[in-house]
Amino acid sequence: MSEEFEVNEEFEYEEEESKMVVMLNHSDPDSVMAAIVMAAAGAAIGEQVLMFFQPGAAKVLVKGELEKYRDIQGLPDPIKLYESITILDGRIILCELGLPNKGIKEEDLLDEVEVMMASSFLFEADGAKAVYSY
Amino acid sequence: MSEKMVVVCNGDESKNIMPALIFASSGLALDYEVYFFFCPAGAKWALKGELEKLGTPKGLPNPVELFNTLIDLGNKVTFCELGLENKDIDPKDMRDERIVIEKLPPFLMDAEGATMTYTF
Repeated sequence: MSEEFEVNEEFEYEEEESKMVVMLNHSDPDSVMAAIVMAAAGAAIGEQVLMFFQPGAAKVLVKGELEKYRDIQGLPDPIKLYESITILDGRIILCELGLPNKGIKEEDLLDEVEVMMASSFLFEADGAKAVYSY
Repeated sequence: MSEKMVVVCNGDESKNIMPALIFASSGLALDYEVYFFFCPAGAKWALKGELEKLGTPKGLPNPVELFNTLIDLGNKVTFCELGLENKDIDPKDMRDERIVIEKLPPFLMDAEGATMTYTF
């Protein structure tokens, strides 16, 4: 076999996932449920989901808060949706400003939550084609 | 082939539906293929008689005409299936039989590749 047809064993084909950004800046049930359903649906169809919680929604990520959105007629369980997002490698990101703004301690956040500045998030979200803001 | 635009309505106030319809119509004018989605919170706007209650808001276009143009031109208008139980809605009450009732994943797959997404 000539050298030019040798297989490069180090080469691996990697399919690039498309990114979906779901922003949330409110803590009312309509906004929270719409955002989390959208994120879970995106993760289910193979999108790389990045949820970004702005200060207006920071409280939602405190342990025990998501449970308050349970039992809304006809809507799925937000805890299961949240788990499905994280299991499917979705990222849950809180804007750093939300901590002092809402008096939240980092240790009170759900385990999967990453905290970063908006500017860092924008780097992470670079290339996202779909952005949904609630 | 036209580019895709997604417009989501997630509220039951005129400030939710009017910009959603205006953006969708503007997308049509720019030759986008528009995918319009009613979340449960915006469900009422997909029902008979609700857009009519808005009349023609001062300085704004008529929402019924905007909606009819959107759907007459064959663009996909989807009602989130979760909204049926959440808002106790009978599918027979949809304002247009061409409104598709389905869950989010199939909608997102149809709209895949959209270059613009707007949520109101």
